[in-house]
Amino acid sequence: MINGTETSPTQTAGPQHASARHPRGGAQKLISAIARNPIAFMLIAVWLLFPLLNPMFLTGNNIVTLLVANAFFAVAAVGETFVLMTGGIDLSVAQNLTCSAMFSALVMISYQTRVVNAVLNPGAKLLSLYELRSLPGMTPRLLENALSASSGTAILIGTVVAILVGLLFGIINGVAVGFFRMSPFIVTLGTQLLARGMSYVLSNGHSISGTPRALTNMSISSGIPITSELILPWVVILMVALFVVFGIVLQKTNWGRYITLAGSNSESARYVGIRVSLVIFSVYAVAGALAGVGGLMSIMCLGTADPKVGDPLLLPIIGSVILGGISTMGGEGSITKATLGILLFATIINGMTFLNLTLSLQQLILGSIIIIGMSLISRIGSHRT
Amino acid sequence: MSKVKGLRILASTLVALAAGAGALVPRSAQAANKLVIGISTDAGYPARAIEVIGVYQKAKTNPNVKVIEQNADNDSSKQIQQIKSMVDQGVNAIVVCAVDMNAIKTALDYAQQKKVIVTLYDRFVDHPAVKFVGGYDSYNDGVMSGEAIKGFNDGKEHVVFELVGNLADTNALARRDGFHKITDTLPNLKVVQIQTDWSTDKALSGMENALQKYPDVWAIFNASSHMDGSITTALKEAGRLKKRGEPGHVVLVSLGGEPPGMQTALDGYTDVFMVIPFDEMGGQVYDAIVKLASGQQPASDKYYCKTFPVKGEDVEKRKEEIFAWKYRDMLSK
Repeated sequence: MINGTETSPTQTAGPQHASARHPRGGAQKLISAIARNPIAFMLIAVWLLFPLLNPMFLTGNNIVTLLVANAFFAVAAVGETFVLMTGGIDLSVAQNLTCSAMFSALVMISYQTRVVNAVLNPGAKLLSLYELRSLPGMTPRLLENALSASSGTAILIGTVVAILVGLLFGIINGVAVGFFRMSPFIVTLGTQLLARGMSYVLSNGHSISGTPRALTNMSISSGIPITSELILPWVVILMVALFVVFGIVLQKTNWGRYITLAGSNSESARYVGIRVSLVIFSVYAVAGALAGVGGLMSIMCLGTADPKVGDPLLLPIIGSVILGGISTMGGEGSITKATLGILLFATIINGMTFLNLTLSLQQLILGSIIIIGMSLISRIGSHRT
Repeated sequence: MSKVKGLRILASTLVALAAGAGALVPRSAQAANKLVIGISTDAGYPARAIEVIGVYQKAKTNPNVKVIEQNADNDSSKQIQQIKSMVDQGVNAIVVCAVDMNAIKTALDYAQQKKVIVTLYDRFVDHPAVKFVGGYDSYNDGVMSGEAIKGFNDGKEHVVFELVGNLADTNALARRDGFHKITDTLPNLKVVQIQTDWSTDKALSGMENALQKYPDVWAIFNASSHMDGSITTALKEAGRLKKRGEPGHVVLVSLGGEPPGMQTALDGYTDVFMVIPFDEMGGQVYDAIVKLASGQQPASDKYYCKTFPVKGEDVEKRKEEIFAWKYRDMLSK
């Protein structure tokens, strides 16, 4: 008894006894943090490694180049994230992006051709922009002014068309998978081929140029100034805004919660009154619309609508979000995880380009990193269960 | 540390690095002491390596010149990123063979903005940033090929296969137009176009399909010698592969000079081998870049390699003039 307070040997020895059984040094804390967030740490590692190999990697110009080059596939990857979280897959996302870009470009060019003809060649036969250049009395400045005046409306129309086309493909997928319970793999494989075929029919196999200059400037020269020489282009700002908005939607709205529930256990979700079919339909529709936005952004970045732009994109879109930790079994994921995966993928590609590695070596390294990343993620998954 | 806090720290660090780095590291740091030339090629075709070999050969003689190269693997968005990366690395000049003549303009805009010298090779792109083009006169090459076919014309009705390249490539269009300038004046010749997109697979399947419909084909114009292997394979399958001088021989005019075409010619199947001396291109581009980098103007803003015809029977004798033979060791790797 000490000062009238009775203590037991166990209580007296308690804290010292606990620390002797579970030492918590800094190294163990770090290992534990890495184990919980392997992709975040891989990302930090590459951002530390590449500048050591080439200091020019860490310039503002290169960081902006990295963000711009990956903006359009990143937006499509947000939609793919939602689809994967429901336990499904959307193989049509890349070709949907391409086809949306095609339609959008054609409509913008058609609109501008009509408007410019009405201004510069009224009442006469409709001429293409190329033919208008050769008209007697036509000067480049006159044509440029007429095009600039109509570009705002053209871009608005092109945006709506891109989203609607993307949404249409998304609705086809959503109806088939959500309401008819068809296999997402088969359905989206079909819409992928449909979209690709349409792109080639519309374009005859070659890229379509002549879209408004102001649209292309959104990936180069128009945006928010960071320094006197550096601009953050609008295409990057749009990408970030969409990530933030859909991140909030997934975390804070009922719809976002329903996506997670529908993916983790669709039967349980039905029992608690969630209309799982409708949720799945809506997810594919939104993914389609986001692919449409990605299509418009591809025109910003490339200056053309290219029927081949989607061909190499499916792997980065799906691979990067899975690398970020989105489970293919559904029920798990976040926009933050998808962002990390996309950023890691984009950084590795950009970094290897910056190091001037040959194409074959780049593919070897990328494949290895994907395997290592997936191994780490699956190890964490097995530890958690 | 919670996940959210950790990610906030990560995000803040990246933003701080990005905001500060542009001012700390000057764009031209790498180029301060050297002339750095960035080559951006559309794909790993053997002809591309030959086209830029002159750049490497001349750069080797100058310790103040460094050359880096990126291969876009026929991906236009990858090529744009690669060119922008090379510009961000501090190259003084770029040498570009565009995957897509329209999409590349975004990258050329960027290079122009950063005051990088822009030169092109093989494919012409209409852009104000372009200071020099190394190429060849594809229209004239098509005309010469048409003249070669005309040289065998006996006035009887015949079918001629024309292997056409990628219609997004101005060279393919020009060769086609030049060829038709001559063949359209020969009403006895029916020209059947086979779309290949420059792909050997498509050339093979196109030839096979065309031979089904026209088994008695009289002549073939191949707009790029790299597809000669597909032609001989298809002819062999149809029982029509005969050497020059043998009954049933199909006249073959092959434009380019690439290794498959060289082999076909040496094997005795080619009647006229139209050789484009691609190896002259790179040296001319290099010289132009050196002049432009020192503030001078080259004598001309373009150099066109002069295509020359070699009769099939003379290929063996003149093989030292043909790049596919000259650089056979490099091309066989």
